[in-house]
Amino acid sequence: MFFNRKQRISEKYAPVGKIGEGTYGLVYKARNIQNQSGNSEAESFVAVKKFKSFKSGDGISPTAIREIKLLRELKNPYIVDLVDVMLDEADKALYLVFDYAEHDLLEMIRCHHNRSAPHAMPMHTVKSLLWQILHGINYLHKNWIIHRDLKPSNILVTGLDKPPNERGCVKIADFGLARLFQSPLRPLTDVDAVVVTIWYRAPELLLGAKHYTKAIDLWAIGCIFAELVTSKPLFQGQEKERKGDDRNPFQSDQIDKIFRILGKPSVERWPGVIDLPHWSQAQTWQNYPCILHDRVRGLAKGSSGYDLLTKLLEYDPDKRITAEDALKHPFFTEEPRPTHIAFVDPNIDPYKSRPVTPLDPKKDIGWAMSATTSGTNGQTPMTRPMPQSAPLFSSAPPPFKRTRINDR
Amino acid sequence: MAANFWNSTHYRHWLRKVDEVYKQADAMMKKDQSTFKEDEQNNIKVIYSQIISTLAMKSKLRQRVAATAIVYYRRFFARNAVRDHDPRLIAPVALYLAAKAEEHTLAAKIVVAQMADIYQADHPYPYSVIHVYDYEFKLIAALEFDLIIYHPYRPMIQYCADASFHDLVTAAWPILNDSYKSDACLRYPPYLIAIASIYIAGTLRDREMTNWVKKMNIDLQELADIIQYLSALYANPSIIRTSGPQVERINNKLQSHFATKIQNAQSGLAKKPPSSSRPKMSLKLAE
Ligand SMILES: Nc1ncnc2c1ncn2[C@@H]1O[C@H](COP(=O)(O)OP(=O)(O)OP(=O)(O)O)[C@@H](O)[C@H]1O
Ligand SMILES: [Mg+2]
Repeated sequence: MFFNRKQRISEKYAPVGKIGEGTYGLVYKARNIQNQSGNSEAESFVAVKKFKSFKSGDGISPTAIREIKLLRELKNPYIVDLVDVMLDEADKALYLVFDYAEHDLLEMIRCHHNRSAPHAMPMHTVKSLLWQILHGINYLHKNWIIHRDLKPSNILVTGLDKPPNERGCVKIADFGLARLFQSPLRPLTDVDAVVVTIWYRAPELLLGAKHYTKAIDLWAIGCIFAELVTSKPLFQGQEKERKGDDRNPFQSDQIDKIFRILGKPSVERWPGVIDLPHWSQAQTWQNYPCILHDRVRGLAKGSSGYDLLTKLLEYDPDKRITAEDALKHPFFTEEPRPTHIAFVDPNIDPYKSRPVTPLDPKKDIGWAMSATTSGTNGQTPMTRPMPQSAPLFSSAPPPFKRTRINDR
Repeated sequence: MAANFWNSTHYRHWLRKVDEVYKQADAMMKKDQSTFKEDEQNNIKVIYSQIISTLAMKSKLRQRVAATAIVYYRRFFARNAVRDHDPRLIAPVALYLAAKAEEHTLAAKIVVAQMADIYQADHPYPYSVIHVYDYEFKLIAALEFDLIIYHPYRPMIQYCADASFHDLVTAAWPILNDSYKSDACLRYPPYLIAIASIYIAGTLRDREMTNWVKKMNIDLQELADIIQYLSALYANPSIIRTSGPQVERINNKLQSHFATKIQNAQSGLAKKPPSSSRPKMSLKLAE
């Protein structure tokens, strides 16, 4: 059975430290206390996302409900696994327990983005990651779900703590904005005006489209593909702040950044653009030539990889390639072939472990504090060191601040 | 997730395990017998399914949200006894949670006010938003976090369109509505309920429906069971129609049964410390 109602969270998971601070709560790394495998050698970890409710609003957070309801229905090797949900009735807290993933693309890309000594991500890794992302998204789209918030920090990748054939695997995470799109009860924009970090936001949304389609996820994947190749975000627009009544202001700088790299779309190429609210303004702007090939040098202009990128970054959402078709693209049948393990060597993890912040007795109340009182509750502190990983750089890159850029 | 009913929790965890679900439900009915007679138990289910629909209408929520809430309500009482959990609270909480799951917002304050508004008894409606928040947790746990519910409305419309039975849509629709006053949603897959409703609607208009049904490539025995089950609802109208005095009688009975619990809870709430320390549950789960 999925969960055991009688058990408390502290009996099942021992907190190790904090790994994320999201919009809706905190994310902790924790150790699975009950060793299901029966093999005492194999230690397994989980990520516990704590949702604060009650004080902040009206009962259980709708974001938590959305994640739970969708992830309960989903099972795919490239979608994060929701292994448990725990409730603390007294604290009115809700914990989502996910299978642990050592990396995310944000951090992996940063490992490569080292100005003095640039090491591009190996093409085999790029291709495998892209292929797995497309697989996961194809599965979602087949199940009538749009993710709506694809960005590097929401795409997790497993590390060496997993068995060899499960390492270096994409796990698409963060379903807090995901939607079932089969005849939505009302236009999706009504509820939350702003979705998808603007750097990965599709042009039709930037120009004011009211309805979401699967195509917005494919635009974001195009942006991520380019970023994997170059280790740098492709369209880094300046986000305009929401103020007053305008919950969804025209993000003109972001559109400008796109036009400067892809050129301004023409009505012939994208007939539907004339119906979009902000087009009347944007169409008066200067035109630029397409310089995408110049920005993404790792993909030669005539190569299949470049061809796939242009199909993902197609302006017209109706013409943009679907996940299903993208998987059939020649890019994936050419050498190097994509694999289920994105690392070049399954026994070597070239990326540094996820930073784990020690627990703060002032902030991490409730379950998370059981770690500092370890020994009580029958819990043992984590003594085992993290699996050895071979660092990519002779000196580890400086710990980056996980700044929250462009968040909703 | 229409593409994937067979992989859904609705199918895997509930319909496929219908025998298990019913074993529990029967045990709960037995547990309730000393407090509520069988026809009272039945009346409670019908009345509170109806109340969920009325609440949804008052908040201008779609029929679909009400239908989801009714399934939540019935799943909850398949695993819990009425004598331990007050339907007067579970019904609005089911709607409150269903609204969230269906991407609507319904403030706890509003659902409580509306419940108080339609409540008929000698006593005022005894619950507040605090109780709603408490029971939202208990409900979602009892549902085992399976929140996506498939309904027969959309498949019914689709089947009618495919077979050009355009006139049967409006006839089958109320049959589907009435099916939610029974346990059909716990027992049968929604696509079969849809076919059964079309069959009944057609037969009532003296249409020959057998040929169409035979072409559907479904288990005809199961379909016959559903048709029988739904038709039985109309044989004894009191099963699905309830009158004001009946509602009031049930509510007074619920009030006298739960009065002491509520009182205890309220004195508990008054003593509730301001924060962080752990308050007792305001309504103790009788397990
Ligand atoms: N399964 C997991 N394994 C490891 N780390 C995880 C896992 N899930 C989430 N995290 C970490 O926690 C962060 C926040 O998680 P998530 O994106 O689900 O929450 P969020 O509140 O929606 O955050 P945000 O608003 O920043 O997108 C992730 O970016 C990641 O660093
Ligand atoms: Mg995130």
